[in-house]
Amino acid sequence: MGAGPETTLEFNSTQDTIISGLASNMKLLAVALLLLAPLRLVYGAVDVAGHPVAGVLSLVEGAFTGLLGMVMLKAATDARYMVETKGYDKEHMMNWVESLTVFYRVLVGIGSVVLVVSAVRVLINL
Amino acid sequence: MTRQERLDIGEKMFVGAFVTSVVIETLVTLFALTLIAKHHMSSPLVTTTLLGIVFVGCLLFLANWLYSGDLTAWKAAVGWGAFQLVLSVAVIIVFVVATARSGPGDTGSSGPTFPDYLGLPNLWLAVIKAVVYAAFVGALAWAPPVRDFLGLRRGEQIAEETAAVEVPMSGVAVPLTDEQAGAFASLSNWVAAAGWVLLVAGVLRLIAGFQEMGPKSVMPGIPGVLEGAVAVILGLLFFAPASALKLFQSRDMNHLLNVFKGFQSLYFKQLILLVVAVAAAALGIVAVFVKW
Repeated sequence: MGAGPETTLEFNSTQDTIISGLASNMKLLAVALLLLAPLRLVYGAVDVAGHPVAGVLSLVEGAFTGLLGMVMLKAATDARYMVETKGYDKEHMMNWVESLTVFYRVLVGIGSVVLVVSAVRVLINL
Repeated sequence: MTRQERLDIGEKMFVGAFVTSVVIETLVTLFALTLIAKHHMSSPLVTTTLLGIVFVGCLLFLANWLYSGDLTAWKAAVGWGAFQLVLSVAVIIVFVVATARSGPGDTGSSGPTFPDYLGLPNLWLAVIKAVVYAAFVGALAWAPPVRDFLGLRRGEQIAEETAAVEVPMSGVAVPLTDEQAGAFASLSNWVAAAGWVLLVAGVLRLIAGFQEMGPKSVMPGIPGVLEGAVAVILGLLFFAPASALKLFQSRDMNHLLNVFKGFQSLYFKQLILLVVAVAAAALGIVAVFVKW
């Protein structure tokens, strides 16, 4: 398939309803992530003395959870702009895709760290 | 998947759910009897034997009744599975609370306890039973192939293809350049990669959590187990939107809307799972300060 024409994209009201629901869920998720982040940081801070590895891992997870929350908040805003603006739906959709790509890249990064540390802990405890 | 393949899978899942439950129920009862006999407790020995016979008997009766596809039998079987699940979870809670209340040097009372009478004298037996009955209820209540199979048994017409599997094309093309379509493909790959990473990391976290549960105190391992379970479920949930994004390589409007709906559904479920993760983190903080 060749490169498509640079035409605009405008979602109709039915499609806007779906995107609006998506934006709401994303915003709620972002808030939940931003709530979880300080909890993980506190857990890490209080646990670091007794269990240094687990404590530091929780601190790192807390910091990344906060970052994920902020990226998700930006993606939610991009989704909301798809509904609220006229004439720029495609641009906002591509921004949404870009924000989500950043979100999942960060998630793969932090997930990999947790994976390696958990594997080491399992092996040590065997 | 063709209609016949779905029905075959449905029958295998149906038979598998009952056979697994009967085998596990029998093994759990035998193992429980061995543990109870070691502690010379006569009353729990009697109740465990009776309950084991009743539970296995009920499962065999329900399997025979439900094979006709009867709706009342289906409700009874799902209700039975849910009851067993609640019972197992209640026993797990009793173990957790009992561990939390007893001090590090406390060996507990030597007399029989509530779980002993129910034939679940060990935490792991309750966990195994909870997992088996959760799968049992899930297979009977939500698995589409099982529902199709049971529908056929009671004489209903089963559609040739499952409509939900296919997302019809609208014929309206989304005007994207190759670079923009590539961004969607890249997102699909990252979502799938995140799913796999969370799945493996979750399993490892789960194992690490179980390892942290000592014979006298299970509390230190609970946050890890909860977080691991959340990560595993989340990892599995990521595959649906990743597939939806792959389908959007068609650049069709319906497939784009399917992507939006897929993410909307994912984020709702993720929100629920995050509540569990928040609870796990809060529990972890409490566990550091309270001597379990």
